[in-house]
Amino acid sequence: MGRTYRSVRMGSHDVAARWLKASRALSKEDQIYGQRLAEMAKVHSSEAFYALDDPLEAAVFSVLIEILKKADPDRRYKGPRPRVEKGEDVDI
Amino acid sequence: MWIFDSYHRGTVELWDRDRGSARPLTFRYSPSFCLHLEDPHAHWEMMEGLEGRFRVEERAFETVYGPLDGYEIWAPRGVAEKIEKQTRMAAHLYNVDLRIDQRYLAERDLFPCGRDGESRFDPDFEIPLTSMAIEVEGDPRLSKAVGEVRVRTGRRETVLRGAEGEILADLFETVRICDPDVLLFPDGDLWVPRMAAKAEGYGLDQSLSRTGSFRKMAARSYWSYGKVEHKSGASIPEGRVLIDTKNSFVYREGGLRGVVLASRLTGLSPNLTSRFTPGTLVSNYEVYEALRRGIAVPFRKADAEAQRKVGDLKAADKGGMIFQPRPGVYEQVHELDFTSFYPSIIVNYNLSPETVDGGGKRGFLSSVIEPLLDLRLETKRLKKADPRYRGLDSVLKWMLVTCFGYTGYRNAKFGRIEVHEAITSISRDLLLQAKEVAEGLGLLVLHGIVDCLWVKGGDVFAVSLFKERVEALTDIATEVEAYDWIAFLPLADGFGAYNRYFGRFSSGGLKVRGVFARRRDTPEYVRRMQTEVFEKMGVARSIEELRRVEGEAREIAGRYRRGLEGADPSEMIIRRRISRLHYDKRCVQASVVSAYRRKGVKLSAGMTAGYVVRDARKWEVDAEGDASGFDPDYYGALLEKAWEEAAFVFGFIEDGGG
Amino acid sequence: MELELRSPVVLAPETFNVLIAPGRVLATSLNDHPGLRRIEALYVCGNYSRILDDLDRRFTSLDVRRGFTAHQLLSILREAYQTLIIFEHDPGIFEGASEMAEYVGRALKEASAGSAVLLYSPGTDPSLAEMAKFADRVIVFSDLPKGVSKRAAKNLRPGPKAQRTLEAF
Repeated sequence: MGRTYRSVRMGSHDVAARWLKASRALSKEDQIYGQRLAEMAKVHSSEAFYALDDPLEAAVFSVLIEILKKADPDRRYKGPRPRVEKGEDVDI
Repeated sequence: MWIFDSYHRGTVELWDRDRGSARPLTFRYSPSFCLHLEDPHAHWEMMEGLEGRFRVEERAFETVYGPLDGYEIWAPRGVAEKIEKQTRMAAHLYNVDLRIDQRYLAERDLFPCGRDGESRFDPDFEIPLTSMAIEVEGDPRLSKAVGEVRVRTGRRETVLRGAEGEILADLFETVRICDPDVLLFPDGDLWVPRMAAKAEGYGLDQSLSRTGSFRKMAARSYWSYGKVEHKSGASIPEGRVLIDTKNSFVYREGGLRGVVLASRLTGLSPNLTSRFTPGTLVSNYEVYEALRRGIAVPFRKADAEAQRKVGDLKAADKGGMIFQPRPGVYEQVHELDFTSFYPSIIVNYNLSPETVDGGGKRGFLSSVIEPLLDLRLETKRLKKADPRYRGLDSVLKWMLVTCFGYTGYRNAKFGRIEVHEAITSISRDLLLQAKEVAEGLGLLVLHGIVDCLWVKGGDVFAVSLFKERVEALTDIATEVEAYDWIAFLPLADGFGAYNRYFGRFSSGGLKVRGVFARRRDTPEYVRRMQTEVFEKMGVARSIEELRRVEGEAREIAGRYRRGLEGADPSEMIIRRRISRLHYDKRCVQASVVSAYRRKGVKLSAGMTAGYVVRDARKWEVDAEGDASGFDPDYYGALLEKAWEEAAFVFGFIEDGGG
Repeated sequence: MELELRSPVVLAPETFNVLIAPGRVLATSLNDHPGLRRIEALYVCGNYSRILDDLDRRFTSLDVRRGFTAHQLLSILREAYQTLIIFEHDPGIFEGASEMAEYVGRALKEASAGSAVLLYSPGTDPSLAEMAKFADRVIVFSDLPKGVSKRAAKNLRPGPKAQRTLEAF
């Protein structure tokens, strides 16, 4: 059978389309950011469906990933800091 | 016994090749059906009535979910339907709508086209049947007259000409004398009913059926995967296999061996397996296996999915995993493909209607798919050394492909949507794990779609390790193909399209998917142009070499553009499926239906019709065969789009990509 | 206690109601209703649902069960126990099985012995008309001119004597 719900990817693309439309109401200088936002919403929404069921959540997830990447252009971030196990206090 | 035809005509009739072609073996057989009532006492009057008129035995019977208490009733289907009505659909009925000859064979562990003691899952089997090829000149959709007929047996070909009555008389005489077991006849399902009717008109005894009678299959239109499909009717001879070689999917994929294999697996006569889709074959295979194991086959699909919260449904209602490609041209790429991915998951994870909620025992579906899968893996291996196994491999591949769809199909006897969802859920995890293995080895994942992954980077050793580790992790066989280069195409919004790509294998040859050259509705002229351009690109083994062939590729496209106005209208035919016959608005499909109506040809929903666009702005089209001209702007635009698809590569390289 | 989805769509307990309206009427009724998330409600539909996609993302407590065949629908309706049962009509289920509409109509009526039942459809067709014969109340909303909506209402032939109201808007 075909599926009951619209795919998360299609839904995220709808969200992106709405954001693009909304950006028309912004000032001329700000409109390009609205366009960029709509694009960022679509970059990862295909893969996000693996764990996300909500198109808006997938769109926001995609945008946040892109923002984090932009904030780290040299790809310095290597992952979460390793946890340091607190050792026992030692009497010197 | 080697049964090559079977049917039910009050008795079960089996045609045995070992006994010659005189007449069939006849067996009396009164099938029964099973009934389970949740509240038998509420229907005691009905049961009394049944016991008074038919043989009824109270007993437990096996279903896929386990034993049920009920009754076995020896009565025809009509009685079962009356029981349904009388109980207001509260009755649970089994073994009502089965093919009687198939059931007879299954209950005795017999199967067509094989001998006692043989395994149905042996890729090697004999076919002790004689064949004759018949071909009638002309298109039966456009003309009903029987013109010239070619008959071929072995190496001998005879051409029959003359008046229609004479041709038919000669044909019937030839068939009578040669007495073939198999008729290979393109459009046979359209010609044979006409020939039988004309024979009566001419006072001839047709010899196409060995008994003189035919079994009728009605034509119908039906929904399949969101589209209307059309199946033409047929007059099936008795005691002789008639294969419509033009319209038989199984014959096209697997030849006579494919039709016979399908027959061995499903318990159906080759007359039926040559006419059925892979989905119907796999469904019948499951029914045959159930009957062979003494499992009752439900009449209606009454077991609905389990209740769940709307959030849980949303989470489960997904398809296969996809990694969106970034459009571009990439060198030194490898494609990893899981072999029969979904069926392998069914078997490895023991997915079946009665086990999907848990439970340790081997499920019906997984135990039934396993030997089919093993056979396919064997033919896949064998065909590499011996091309004779290609046809069998293809038939098996299609049966396995459709068995997944069947788990969720609403009319599937042993379908259950939760099984369907479990398969896709596991498949997403497995593809994700494969991606992680690739990245762990330093490979870059370019694209992934359901059961295959394209990766770049690494040396031969890394790729080999990638394959090994994925197979060890997933316990599913894979194949790896190497590409010199591959292009992933964009959608209109610039993001990567799934399954639209083309590339050159390192071993030579091209793989092309989703583009004009592969689409069934592309006009021949446009297909030729794009194919020629791809062949030119196929000479290049690197991005640098692609850059060098750009000039010649452009020259090819230019040649086709210049030649368009003078091109033959027959090369402009577009073939599309007609989904409806009535349209509210003007559109191409409405014009196609009118064009065919003007020719006196009646289309049915789901049929494919060929047409040429005469004037796109006015929606004017001509039916295939009638066109004397075409709209050059319309076809010019198609040519341009096809060129742009291929030329994406050059644009990308020029922009500094690759 | 009556359940007011949105005026005038008020569902009395133990009644079988039919609503013919654009999808947004039902979707917004369900999304905006404050009490709906506190009662047990079952949403029944076929393979494709126009409404489920439009439900508020926070509306997670709704039970759902899909029926792909008329026989599955019967099983679902016979097993349903929730206070409110909403069934989104799928005419495709009755293709080639038009006689089943009567059984499903009866099953909807029988289900209303313990629940408020709402059969929803965006438009009319023969199978809906058959099921609506067993309804206590039929409510028709329409964006179309009044004449058409009256025609739509007329197509629903009056049901058994038990049917009390037939309203068109």
